[in-house]
Amino acid sequence: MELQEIIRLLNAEPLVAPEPGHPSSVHDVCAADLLSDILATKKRDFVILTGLVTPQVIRVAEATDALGVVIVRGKTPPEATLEAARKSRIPVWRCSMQLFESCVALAPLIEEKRTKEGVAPT
Amino acid sequence: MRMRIDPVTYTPFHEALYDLRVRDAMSKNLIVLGPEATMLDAQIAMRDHRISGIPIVIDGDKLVGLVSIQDVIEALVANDIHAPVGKWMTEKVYTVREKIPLIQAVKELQKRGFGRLPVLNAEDRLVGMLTNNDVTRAVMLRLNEEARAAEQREADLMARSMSATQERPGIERIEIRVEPMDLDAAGTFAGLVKKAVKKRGVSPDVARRAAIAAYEAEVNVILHSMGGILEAFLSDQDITILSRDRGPGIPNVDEAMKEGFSTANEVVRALGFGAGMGLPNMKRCSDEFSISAPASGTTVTMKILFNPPSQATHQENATEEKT
Ligand SMILES: Nc1ncnc2c1ncn2[C@@H]1O[C@H](COP(=O)(O)OP(=O)(O)OP(=O)(O)O)[C@@H](O)[C@H]1O
Ligand SMILES: [Mg+2]
Repeated sequence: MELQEIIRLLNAEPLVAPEPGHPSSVHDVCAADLLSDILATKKRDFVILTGLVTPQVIRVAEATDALGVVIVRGKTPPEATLEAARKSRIPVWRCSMQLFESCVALAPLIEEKRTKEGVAPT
Repeated sequence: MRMRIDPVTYTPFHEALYDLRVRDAMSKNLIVLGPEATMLDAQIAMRDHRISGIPIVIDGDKLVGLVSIQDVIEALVANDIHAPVGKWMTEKVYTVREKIPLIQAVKELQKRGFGRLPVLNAEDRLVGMLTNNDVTRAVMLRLNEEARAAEQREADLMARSMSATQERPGIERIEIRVEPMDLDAAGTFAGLVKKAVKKRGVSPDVARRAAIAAYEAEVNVILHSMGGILEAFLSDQDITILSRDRGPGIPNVDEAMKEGFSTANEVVRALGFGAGMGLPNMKRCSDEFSISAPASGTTVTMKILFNPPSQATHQENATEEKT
C-alpha cells in the first residue's frame, strides 16, 4: 500500500515531512496505544498509528524500523518528539480521528492487502 | 528513638535489628559503683560520664541494683544524698542476656519505658549496658557497612566485566548507567546497540531484535528498579546484552514473564508503558535468555546471534497484533 494513500484516507497533516528517497510504499499498519505492543509486533515495513506523543514513540519506531508515525486524536506532540523524529529521519503526521476511527478509515487498504496476499477475511 | 515493627513496612533498618544481637550494640565501657558508695558519688559519676543510670555491683561484676537520676533526685529531696547507694537503689532490675536478638531488647525497652537495660552473660555477670542510643548507633553502623559492601560488590562486578573485555580484545563494549524514572534517557542504550550491530552488517531482523531487547531491558530498569547498568558486548558472532540493577527484584519471575503481567500504574500506562509485554518480548527476541531477580537486584542476560541458524523461528513465535 502507498504511504500517501494512508495519509490521504486519514486526512493527516505532516509535522515532520518524509525526506526525499523515503520509501513510498508500506506493507502494514500497527495501531497501538502501548509501546510494548508496537515492539512486540511481527509486522515489517509498517506505519505506527498511536495516541502517544512522547519522544519514546520515535525511539520505538527507530528500534522496530517503522516507516513513519501517525499521531491520532489531533494531539500535538512536544518539540522534543519532533526533534527526535527529524534526527532519526522518521516522518510524523497528525490526524484528528480517534484510534479506532482511523483503523476503520483504513479498512479499504486492509481488504486490498488481504486480497493481494490471498488471505480470506475473517 | 521509637520503633514500631510493622510487617508491611519491613525495611533494611528492621532487618538489621533482627540480625544484630544485644552484645553487638551494648556499651562495654561500664561505669559501676559498689553498694558502699554514696548517692553523692552516684550523682557525680552520672554528671561526669553523662549517663542516666549506674549499675551497682558486688565482686566486680555481680549486679545487685541500679541507681537512676530519679533515685538521686529522691535522695536529694529527702536530704539523704550522703546515704549509701544500697539504701536508694532499685533492686528489682530488668536485665537482658547478651545473646538475644537486638529486636527483643528494643521491645523490652519500649514496653517498660526504660532508658537503659543492664546486659548479663550466661554466668549472670554484668557485661554491658544497652540504651536506645546504643541501638541506634549499632543499626546505623550496620546499615553503613551494608551500603559499603553493596557499593563494593557493584565495583567488583564492574571491574570484572571491564577485565573480561580487556582480556578479549575482539570484544566491543557499550555501557550506560540509568537512574530510576529517568524516562527522557530511555532508548539511549537501544540506540547505541542498534548502531553498533548495524555497523557489523547484520540482517535488519537481527538489528531489530537487538534494539528491541535492549530497549525493553532499559525501560524496565528505569521504570521498575532503583537504577542500574546496561551493557552490551559485541563479538564477531553475537551480541550479549547484560542488564543489572539495584533491586527490588521480582517476587515471582514466572508470573512476570507472562504476557500481560504488569505492575505499572496509571501514570506510567498513560505514557505508553505497562502492557506487560516487555519481558516475554525480550525472551522472544533473544537466542539465549536468562533472568534472576532476587531482592538485591534483577539481572537479565540476552544473547543474539548475528547469523541465526533459522531466521524463521523468531517470527513464528512473535505475537499477533491485538487491535
Ligand atoms: N528490572 C526490574 N526490576 C523489578 N521489577 C521488574 C523489572 N523488570 C520487570 N519487572 C516486573 O515485571 C513486570 C513485567 O515486566 P514487563 O517488562 O514484561 O512488563 P512491563 O514493564 O510492566 O510493561 P511493558 O514492558 O509492556 O511496558 C513489571 O511490571 C515489573 O513488576
Ligand atoms: Mg517492561
